[in-house]
Amino acid sequence: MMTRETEESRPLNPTIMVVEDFEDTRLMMKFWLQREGYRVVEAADGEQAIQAALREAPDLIIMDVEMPGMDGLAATRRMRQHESLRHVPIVTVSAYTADEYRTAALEAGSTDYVSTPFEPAALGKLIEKLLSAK
Amino acid sequence: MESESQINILMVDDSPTNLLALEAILQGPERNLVSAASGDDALRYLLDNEVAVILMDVYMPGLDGLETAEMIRGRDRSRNIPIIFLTADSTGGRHLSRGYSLGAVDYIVKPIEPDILRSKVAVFVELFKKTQEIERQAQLLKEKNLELENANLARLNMLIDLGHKLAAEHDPSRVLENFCRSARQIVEAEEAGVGVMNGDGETLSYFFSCAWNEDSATGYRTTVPKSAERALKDLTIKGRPLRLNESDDLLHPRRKNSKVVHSFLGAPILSASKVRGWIYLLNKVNANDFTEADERLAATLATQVAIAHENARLYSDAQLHASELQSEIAERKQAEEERAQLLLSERAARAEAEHANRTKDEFLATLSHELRTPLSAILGWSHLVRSGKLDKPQMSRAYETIERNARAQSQLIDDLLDVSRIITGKLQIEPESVDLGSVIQAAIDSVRPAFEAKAIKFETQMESGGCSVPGDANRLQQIFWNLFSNAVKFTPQEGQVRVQAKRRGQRVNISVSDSGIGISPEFLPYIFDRFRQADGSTTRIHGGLGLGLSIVKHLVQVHQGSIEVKSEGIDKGATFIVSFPCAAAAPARTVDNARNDGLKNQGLPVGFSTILKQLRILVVDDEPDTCELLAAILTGCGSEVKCCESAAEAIKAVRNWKPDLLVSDIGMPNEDGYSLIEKLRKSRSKQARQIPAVALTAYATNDDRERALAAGFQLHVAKPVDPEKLVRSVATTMGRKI
Repeated sequence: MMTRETEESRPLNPTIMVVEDFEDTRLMMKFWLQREGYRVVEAADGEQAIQAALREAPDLIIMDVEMPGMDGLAATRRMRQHESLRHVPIVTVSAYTADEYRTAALEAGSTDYVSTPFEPAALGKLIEKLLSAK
Repeated sequence: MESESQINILMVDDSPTNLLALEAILQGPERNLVSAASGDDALRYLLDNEVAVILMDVYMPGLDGLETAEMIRGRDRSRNIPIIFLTADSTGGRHLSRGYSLGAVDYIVKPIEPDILRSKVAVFVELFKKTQEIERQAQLLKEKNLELENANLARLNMLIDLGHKLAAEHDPSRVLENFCRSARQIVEAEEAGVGVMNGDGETLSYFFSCAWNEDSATGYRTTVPKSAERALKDLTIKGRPLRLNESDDLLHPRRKNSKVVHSFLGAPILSASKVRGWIYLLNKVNANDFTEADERLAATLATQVAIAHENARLYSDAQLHASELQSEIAERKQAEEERAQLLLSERAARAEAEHANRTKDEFLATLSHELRTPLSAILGWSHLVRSGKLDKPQMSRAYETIERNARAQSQLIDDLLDVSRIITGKLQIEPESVDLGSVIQAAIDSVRPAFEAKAIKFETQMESGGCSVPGDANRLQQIFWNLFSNAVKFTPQEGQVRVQAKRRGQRVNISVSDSGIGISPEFLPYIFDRFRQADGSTTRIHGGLGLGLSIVKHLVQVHQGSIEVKSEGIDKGATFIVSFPCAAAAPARTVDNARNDGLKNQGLPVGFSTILKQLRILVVDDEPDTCELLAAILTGCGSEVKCCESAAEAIKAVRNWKPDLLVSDIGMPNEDGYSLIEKLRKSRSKQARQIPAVALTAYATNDDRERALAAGFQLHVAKPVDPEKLVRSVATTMGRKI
């Protein structure tokens, strides 16, 4: 899975990167975010995500935790080492609900943590809030 | 020799005539008459010979008699020889006094009176004889003394030796044994014995005896000799040494056939003035009786042994205390070790529990993740659909995705429920004869989309020989679906999966091999463990709960099968091999002979075909398939079988068909097996009350077993039916030899 710019994107709209290995969910997020008017960049694992982030300079990153190769936490930590990515909001999204995952995510450098299945409206509000705070 | 037996008499005279005359007078037996013609001759003779008496002529040329006598007296050897002077001078005069001063004992005036001379000489001969005798006896006495001295020395040595032995010995009974042997040797008795009494002063706590020749028939005794019994009793009462010989009454045994004892010597072993035991000695060697000295010796020895024995007893008591102390220390040490061990195993148990807890936590996290992942896809896509802003291809994608995730979740829930059933022991199967080939094919069909999507080459090689397995078709299919799904899941695009079924005697083996990611040797032993997955990290590639293989293993086991796994390691692929016993060829509705022939090969040992011969067996089960299967198994062993599908039908059949045995299911609609057996046991018909009955049920807990036995069944056999076990149980119940 390679990153690619989606057709409907408008350059002036904020770019959101979705990092998720489960295709069903990734596709769903893409459709949803596009419908909300964002430009969407996809990545299926941590390594891809770092490369794409450096190239695309997304305004916000939605990061899954469980992924083959480099997981979301490691990818977050690596991203925070890059000057250009140090302040990008990263919302960690995970099917793991325990508090320790939230703590681990925040420690790794995530801006916020949302456990799935998420409420689209709530996530949408969070994205808006983080983008406007930027 | 001559000089010893004969007595020399020396005659000294210068006149041969006189010498002849003397010889004539003095001749006699045992006498050696020695003639000397001069004093010189006489002296020469006396140098080498003992002489009893000398007859000396006073007047002789050369050395005269007196001079000769003087010289004789001058020599030590001849100083005391009596000399009788012979003289013609009757007055004696100066000869006489000088002669006496020279030690003459007599004077005889010539002419000689033969009688007087003879008698005087006889006196000296006799004197000489006596002296000789005395000397001989003195010598003998000296020798005897020496001998005695030596003997005493030997005794003394033996005594010293015994003293050493007793002092060195710490075992009380060895002390007594040594003592007995030594005492016999020292006192020189043919036989010796030593006894120690119990506190009652009568019965013996210890007895040992020895004899001069221990190999002979008089060797070790185990009891006191009859002939000494009374003497020993006397000795014990009096507490003093006792010395007896043949003439003593005490030595005469009351029983006639007892061995004769000529002499007896006994001494008490005293301790604190009380008689603790005794030593006895029988028959002095080379003598008739024991002496007073022997008695004193025996008494001394007895005193000595009393001390030694007491010491040894104290020593062994001390040893006992020491060893008690030691064992107490050892016990304490062991207790400490056990405590340490307990602590260790407790720690291990805690670690185990912690590990189990961790595994459980990990599982719960995984479970949450695995349930939420499809859920979020379902909810997200549903949200998109409802928003109504998706185009047609997006809509169809939405529906497909929702359905696929819902199915995946349903599968997860099924697995969870199965695990729950397995844990609570509620996973039961309804056994029927299942054709393995069609089950495997159905499982392949259901994973076909998956392997086709990955372009996996899926090969099958079915040589199960029409084998059927007694079991549950859905569960069997679940087993294979799981194995095939796993193989496809862990095999990369364009990989290979191979399924082979082969008949091996009464079993069928199915192997599922893949060219997938393989299993590390470290994980291999845990592959069938619940909640275990090789990769538990957040970076894992493969999802799932890690329940599939644990469910598979359990399902295989409830089907009397076995499962094993092989893998050369990571990226080397894996092979799962399942083995099941073969059952009937194909289920049929009726129990006919053709069917029976087919059933003779259903995994029963050779020799079972007639084991239930001439038995009427009534089978009761509401499931017709189970009835069929049981009937097939039992008729295959030579019995006649009738099937009933309800308790009511069975009661009638018992009355009318008069079976020898009842095999009944427990769980049946309307009326269950418990009720059936209770009714039969309360029946008025003796045959119904006494018919042996086997309960056959899927309820396999101990409580179920006990309840079945309490209700009136003789035996409880758990489902699914193991044909061999069932036949064995039935045969045993009917007293048939297997």
